[in-house]
Amino acid sequence: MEITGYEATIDETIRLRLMDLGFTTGNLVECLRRVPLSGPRVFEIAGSVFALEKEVASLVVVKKKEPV
Amino acid sequence: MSERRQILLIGKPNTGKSLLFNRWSGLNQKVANFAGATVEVAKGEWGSFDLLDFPGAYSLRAVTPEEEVAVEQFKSILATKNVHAVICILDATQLERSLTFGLQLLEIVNASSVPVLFALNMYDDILKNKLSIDIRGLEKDLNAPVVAISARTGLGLEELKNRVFDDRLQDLRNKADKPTTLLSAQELNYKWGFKSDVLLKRLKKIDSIFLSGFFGALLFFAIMFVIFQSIFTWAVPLMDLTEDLIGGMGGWISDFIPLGFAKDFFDDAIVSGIGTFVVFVPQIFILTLIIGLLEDSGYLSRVAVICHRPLRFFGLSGKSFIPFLSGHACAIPAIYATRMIDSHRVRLATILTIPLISCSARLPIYSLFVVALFPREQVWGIFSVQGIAFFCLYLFGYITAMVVSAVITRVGSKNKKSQNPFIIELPAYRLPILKPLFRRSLKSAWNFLSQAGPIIFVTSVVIWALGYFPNGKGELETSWLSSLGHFIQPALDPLGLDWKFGVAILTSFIAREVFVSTLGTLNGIESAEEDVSSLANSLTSGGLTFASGIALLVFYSIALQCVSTLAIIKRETKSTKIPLILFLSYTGLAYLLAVLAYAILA
Repeated sequence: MEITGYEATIDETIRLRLMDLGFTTGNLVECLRRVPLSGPRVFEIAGSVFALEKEVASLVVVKKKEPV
Repeated sequence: MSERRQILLIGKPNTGKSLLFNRWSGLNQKVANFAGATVEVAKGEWGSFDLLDFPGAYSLRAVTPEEEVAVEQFKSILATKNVHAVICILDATQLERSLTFGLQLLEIVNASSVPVLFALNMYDDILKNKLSIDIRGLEKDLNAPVVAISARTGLGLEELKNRVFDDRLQDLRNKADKPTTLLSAQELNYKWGFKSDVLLKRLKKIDSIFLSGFFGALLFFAIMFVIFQSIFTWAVPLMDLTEDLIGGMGGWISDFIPLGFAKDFFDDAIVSGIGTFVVFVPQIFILTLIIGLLEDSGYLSRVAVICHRPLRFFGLSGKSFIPFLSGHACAIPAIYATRMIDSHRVRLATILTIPLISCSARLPIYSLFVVALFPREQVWGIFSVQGIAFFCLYLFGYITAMVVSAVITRVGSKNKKSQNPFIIELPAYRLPILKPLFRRSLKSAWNFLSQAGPIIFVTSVVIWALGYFPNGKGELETSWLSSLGHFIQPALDPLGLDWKFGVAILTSFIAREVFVSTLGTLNGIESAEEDVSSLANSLTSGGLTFASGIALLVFYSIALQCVSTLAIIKRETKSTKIPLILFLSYTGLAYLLAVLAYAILA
């Protein structure tokens, strides 16, 4: 999945934090797994792995990467 | 001013910064003191320089107030003109993210005239996986020295050292073109880094077990059970040994003191006063070691991920779990363990509720009353009634902790939205390196001794004096303490207890374990701690009712009767008000619920 931006409702603090971690527009992100019982989700991005709680993850807007 | 010149180490968490710091500075470490600092900077000696280790930060963009303080502090140290160089640690296995941090650092450092070096750590991992990073290319684009190193194997450390002490480094100071680049971290990584996800293969494979639904949960419970067992079984012999050592040494010195006040003061105030806090040292050491092992192996962040959802409901986070688990051994190392919680609010809620988790000091009291109140019978052949009673007591502690946390976090925050979202990095699984871990554990044990020790010691001496005077013969029955016991008798009536329990409760405000020995003294039973059943018998034959016993258990599972814990809370929250309010409200709550329990049962 390719990151296209953030939801308009996102808190500035969270946005900056996510950007520092590599969740920037144009980067590719992959959801590796979901922890059972609506726990955090695990993402791979730019060679690192992060767990984000569902509410935070849903603030990042993605689209399917077009096959080149 | 003959101040030594400084070298600053800075980098993201999990980049091996502390390992490098430990390698260079050896045992000569202390916390560097800077005016108004809230961030702890470790200071070590490296040759003729001072090496300063800044705590790992994900970003140098000051977003939260705490980060702002940290960044301001960093800037003010740079401005002292006493800094020889800044070494920025980058993680070679995560080049893009490291460079994001590195570029932010350049922005800050370029405002001063301090040269920057980049140490590309974990390069052994890159070589092992037959990858490569173009170091010279990076150097050219960043316009600053870059050295490939491995703090783990020692690779490249000589070169880094030479570059730091190289005279040419200082030329950079005066150069007009500062290290900078027009490229972004993403572009730099694309240009000079490797394009492969081979490094994450192992992590994904291990996580597919540890974070899977069924096996993940099974392994989680197995690991937590082992930890729980080890903090009790490994620490107990060491604690006994410590007690014996102090007792033995005290006894040896005591033989040289003539009978009378001086001897009593030495035996009962000094020796037992020291004993009350030194016994915690082995547990603090072992817990710090275990948590360090979990952290360095990479599993700790998985624990936080697994536990996050259920704990969030109560206003806590997945990162609160390990402190709670540690709290079963002792609240003090548990409160130290909350340092890994990055959200200030969650950390405070965790610290405030840790004292409700049944710690090992409550164990002797629980055993005494469980033995006195419950029959030695089995239900359904496998569960003992006494065992179930123990379990319920532990459960009661958890329930109270969760309720209190839910209440304070909901009332305390105006903003209902999650202010500190749960975001955690899952680092690669690595084999922990023992030497720095041992060092860290020793350091935390020493911190406890030097910082909490004096407060605990003074309080113990005061309580001893109350029990010793005015008759000066050490007879508890006629002391000020006993008068106090009689004085609070009206408060004990709603619990159906007499003044003896009052005295025992009062003395146990130093530390809970004193309760059993005081009751033993008052009931004429020597060494009550070893002989719980005879004290239990004399209590029940002395007229202790079931309702009063339960009321006492309720009281002890909630009341914050531990000077050590209060001292640590004061230190960690940097507030005198918080431990004071906490002490009063938990004691009040404990009393109210105890009265309620007695009223229902009697």
